[in-house]
Amino acid sequence: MFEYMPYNLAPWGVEIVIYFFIIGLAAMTFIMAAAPETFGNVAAPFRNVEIPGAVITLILLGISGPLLIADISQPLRFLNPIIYFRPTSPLSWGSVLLLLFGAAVVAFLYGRFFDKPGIRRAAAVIGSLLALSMPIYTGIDLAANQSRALWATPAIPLLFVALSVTSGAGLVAVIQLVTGNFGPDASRMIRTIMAFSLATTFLLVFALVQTMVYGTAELQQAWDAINGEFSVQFWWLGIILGIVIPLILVLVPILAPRAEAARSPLLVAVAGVLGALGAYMLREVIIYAGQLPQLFF
Amino acid sequence: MISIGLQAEPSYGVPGKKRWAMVVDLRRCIGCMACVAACKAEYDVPLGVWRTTVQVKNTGKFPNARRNFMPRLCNHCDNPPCVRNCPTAATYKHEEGFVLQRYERCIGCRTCMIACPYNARFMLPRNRTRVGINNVVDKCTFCDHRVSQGLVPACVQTCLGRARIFGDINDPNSEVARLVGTHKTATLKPNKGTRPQVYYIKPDRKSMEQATSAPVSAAARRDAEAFYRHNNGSRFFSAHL
Repeated sequence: MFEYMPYNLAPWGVEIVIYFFIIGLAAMTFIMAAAPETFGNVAAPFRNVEIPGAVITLILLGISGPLLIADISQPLRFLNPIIYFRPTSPLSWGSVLLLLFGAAVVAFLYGRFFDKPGIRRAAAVIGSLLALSMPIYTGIDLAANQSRALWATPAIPLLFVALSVTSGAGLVAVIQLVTGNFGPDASRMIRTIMAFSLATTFLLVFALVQTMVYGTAELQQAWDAINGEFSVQFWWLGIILGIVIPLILVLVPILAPRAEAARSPLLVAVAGVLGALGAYMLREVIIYAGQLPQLFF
Repeated sequence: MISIGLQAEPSYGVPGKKRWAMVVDLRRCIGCMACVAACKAEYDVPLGVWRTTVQVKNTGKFPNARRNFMPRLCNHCDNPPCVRNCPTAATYKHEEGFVLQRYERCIGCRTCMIACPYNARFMLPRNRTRVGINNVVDKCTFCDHRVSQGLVPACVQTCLGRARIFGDINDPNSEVARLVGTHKTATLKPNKGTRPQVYYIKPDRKSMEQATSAPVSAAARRDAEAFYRHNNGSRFFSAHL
């Protein structure tokens, strides 16, 4: 005879990773697109991304909604989390907030196209709050599971917010570059936002690494998985390409104001794309590696 | 503890309430797998998934060696995380302690599988012919349909060593209450705060610990691979192995 135990499967796969990434991207893109309405002249450099930003948010929601429905094994029951709403389930809250966020984006565009300032402003403020709830709810979706040691920390929702800010700022930079409206003010503002979000990401990931290295057996297993199976995604694509290089790209013009070449909007857009890549990879590693220690129990 | 929706309040130790529990006396388990077979027969559990398993682990080297058996099933926790996390209340806790599944509500989001520290839940495959319940999450029910008729679960009924004992732990005269009260027992991962209601007498340390590496069993791997092949195309298998 032999040692025998059944293989278990990691229940959440690539669809969840893509969904978490897209919804975070959409949320922060909308916050920046609606910023001139929400915060007034302080965010004036983002005025020209109001419409493209909100339209792209709607397109991203159009992708993420069906993706989420396709991921569940009973797609025709996708309204059940709302019909049978359960207040203790982060996923139930997420379904409702996602629907309301979509409605707010549509209302914002309606107010913008049909020149209804009241609706536009209300949709911008409420939509921004709902947008903020997107990365938070996806983070709590993980943090609520005490059975997965890597996820069961309040740092995860914060990390997801920081990752969303980086990827959203990156997308806004690309939109402005493509539409030819990437002025120095917008460039400076995006650099500042990304510097804060990337630095926050770095610190939170560093804290997570500390808890894994000095943590429980499950956390140490997750750390082993990250350094084994996911080392390329974590260290090279997530940390080096996704945090360190973009952080250097956005910090150089701040630390060395005379370096004119470093202020190129193209470099900000490149930093944004790299930051978005890192945001995806770190989510993937956290979602996968968080499930692995449990599989062989 | 608040009671929300179909989440019944914990009933362990509450006077006047029943609290079904199971004791697994590992001194008596011989690893015959009759409980697994009985469970498969009772529910037509498909190939590749199990409501209950018996894990086999060896310790030591010949001649100082031992084979350990560890029956595993849903722990019907008094504070079940799967129930809290289910977004549709498809998973609920019965007032007598059963943690049950409403198949018609389940959307197959697998959140409950994520929440369960014991890997007690599984997806039913899409290609299932004899029973019309497919593509939703399933689990051990403590045979609530049998218990409500005054019978014991199928695995308990068939256990030839009487290693599995089932009863109302709130009844001080029941066999499970007596065993838990008079023996050194252990539960799985009590630090997770789930208050599991499957008690083990004299478990082996290796069987209780979090496994740090993939199982060495070639048979288990063959089982898993056959299951994946059989269910090729199902959304479930896009998940990471």
